[in-house]
Amino acid sequence: MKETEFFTRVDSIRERLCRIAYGYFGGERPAIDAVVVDAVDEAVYKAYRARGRLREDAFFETWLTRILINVCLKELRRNKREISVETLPEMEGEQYDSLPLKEAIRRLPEDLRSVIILRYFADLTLTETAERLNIPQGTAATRQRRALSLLKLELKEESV
Amino acid sequence: MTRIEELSELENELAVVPGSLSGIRKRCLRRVRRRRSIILMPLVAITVLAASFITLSNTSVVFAKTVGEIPYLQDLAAAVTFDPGLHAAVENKYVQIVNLSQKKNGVTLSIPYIIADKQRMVVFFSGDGAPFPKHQLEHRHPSKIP
Repeated sequence: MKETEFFTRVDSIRERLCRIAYGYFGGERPAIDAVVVDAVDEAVYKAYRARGRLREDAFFETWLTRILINVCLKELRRNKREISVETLPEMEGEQYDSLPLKEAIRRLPEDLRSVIILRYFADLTLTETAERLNIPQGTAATRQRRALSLLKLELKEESV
Repeated sequence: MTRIEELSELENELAVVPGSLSGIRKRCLRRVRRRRSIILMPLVAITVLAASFITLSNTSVVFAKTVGEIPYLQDLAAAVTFDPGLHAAVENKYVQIVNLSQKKNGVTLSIPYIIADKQRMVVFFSGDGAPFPKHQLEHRHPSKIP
């Protein structure tokens, strides 16, 4: 992929990438803006250097989104702010319920949180979410249901 | 505040895009250029060092002698030095002017000067005239040269 095309495509999805990074980092704006932009920058830089390895241009957004998710998770682990699935203490629904929404999302297990971020922060469909996370659509739907239930968020569930 | 209201507030918050996001391309390309220069810098430094070493070995007798005494560097110096001793001899006019010249078969061979010490003799020569086929050269043992 040529440089011009690469950056044209990046520009077309940069706001979505930004919202995904917000979802992972949480925190209050504008304090968190610099961290979010740094993560998007890092993902774009990594993608730029590896763009020759992208086999099909059609997968560009999926590919870049995955890179961004990895960058965000790596940064969170580096800052020891990450609460991984393994170390997360079992929280009851009521405990999530007592937290503000943003904090509750941040405290979700990683697999559930990723679905919520892609669905409600990045405005992706269930099919697109499953594709970005490389999981079956049924699994994405189950995780979404579970996450919404924990967050006590009663939204109409979109089937696709 | 209900969860739906919280979600709505979150969506409003996300709708505001950080101003610095528009500079992605510029920052990315600047980083790429910086990385390239970081990779090239040691290569340039090594090239400059090697060029300096070769130049000094061939132009400075003091440097050539000093380096020649250092165990690992002496082999390297010998490999890149054309002939510092010869160079020094010419620079200091330690040459014997002979101005000999002989013409044979249309070819003139001139020997303007020589340099000789206890171990070797260097003969400076030049030839001019018609091209002389190599197979016509006469090979004689030094003892048979009149």
